[in-house]
Amino acid sequence: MGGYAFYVWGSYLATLILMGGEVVVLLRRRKLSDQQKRSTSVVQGKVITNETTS
Amino acid sequence: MKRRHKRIAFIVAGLTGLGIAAALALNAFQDNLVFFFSPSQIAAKQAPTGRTFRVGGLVQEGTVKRETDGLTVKFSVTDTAQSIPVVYKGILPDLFKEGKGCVAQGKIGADGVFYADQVLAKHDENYMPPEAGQAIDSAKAAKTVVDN
Amino acid sequence: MNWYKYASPTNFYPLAGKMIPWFAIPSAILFVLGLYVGFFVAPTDFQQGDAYRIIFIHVPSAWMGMFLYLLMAFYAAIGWAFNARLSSMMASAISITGAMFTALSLVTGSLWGKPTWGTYWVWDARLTSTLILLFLYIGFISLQASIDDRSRADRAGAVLAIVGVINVPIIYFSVQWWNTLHQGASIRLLGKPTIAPPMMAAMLIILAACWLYSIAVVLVRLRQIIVEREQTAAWAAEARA
Repeated sequence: MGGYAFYVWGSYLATLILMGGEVVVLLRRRKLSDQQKRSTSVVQGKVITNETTS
Repeated sequence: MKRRHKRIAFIVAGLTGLGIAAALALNAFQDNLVFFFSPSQIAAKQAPTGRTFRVGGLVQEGTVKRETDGLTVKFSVTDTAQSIPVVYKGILPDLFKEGKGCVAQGKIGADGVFYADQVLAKHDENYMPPEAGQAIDSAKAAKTVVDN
Repeated sequence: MNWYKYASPTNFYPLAGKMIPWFAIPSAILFVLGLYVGFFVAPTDFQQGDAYRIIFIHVPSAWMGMFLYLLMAFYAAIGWAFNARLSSMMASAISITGAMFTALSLVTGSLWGKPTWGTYWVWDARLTSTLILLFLYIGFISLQASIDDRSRADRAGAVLAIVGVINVPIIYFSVQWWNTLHQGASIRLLGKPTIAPPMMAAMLIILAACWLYSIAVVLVRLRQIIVEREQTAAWAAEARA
């Protein structure tokens, strides 16, 4: 890279970190809300059974 | 109470953002709307004296001279109409070349010499392979020979 | 086909899900192709040597930062004016990707500035106005995050986004209007580009890849926002009942 390796590869590394990071954060957010949805539906199920028993 | 807190937070956040934006804009536009002055403006005494400012233009061909200490460089910056001598001690950027653009930051001395503490290269928006660049350079050289 | 049907978030959700791979896969292919052209086909530059190769990601990311801001402001304005929820959600979904690209253009630009200009940063009009663009994005995102009431958050965000639109032409024309250290545009709407064809090809391919990437990522995030908001709405309804 004619002495410019640090700057050129640094730029593409920054690209990888920022774009890849965005994708990772987004997929984690989706996973988290999926888990939450499942756990809340379980909780809601319990609430309903409690109500019916009492 | 919570609603009011939210509203206050909203106003504070908005004003802070606006404040930062305005401060940056003013900073940029007051001092740097004119990021640099040309040698002609300096000759016409439009540049500030006694405080740091920038001078921009082309590095005049044949004026770059390095002192024996290997660090101090003397050259002239020109806008083809006027030129100003510049003295700089430090490392020059790779793209600093005679006939190419540069921006120097510093103060003008009583002797009319510009003492720079930073020299930046200003490159243009032309990107081409080295062979094409050489072709253009030699065409220019041929043209100056013809003109003379 | 009834397009109006898809203005409703719940109807749009499955459609968006089907669309995502159609953007994500071509985006990945174009990134690889663009980098191949950029590093193996495009020659070194006559002045800057290999340092100029940063242009292939710097320019597309800077353009994306500006385009996405205009798009975000447009959707925010539509959402505000017509009370269209999906449109406001779209604005929120775009904001993070736009901020990411603006940050990327600042980082790559500073890594380009050091070897060519001799400095990582200067306060010239182009660089300063781009930094302001990043702050506008951050302002939009944090403003929306700080307001619990969704419709109020959308309205406040819309006002900020619309006011900030003025900054985009300032960024674009700054190199023409004022003396800047930043060089002028190499590709203009009118006139011949001042960049050799293989270099321009690499840049445009990566620009296309960035567009497809943005669409894919924004659609995933939009689906996420739809789910989260519907959940909150459902919980709120349950709590009231």
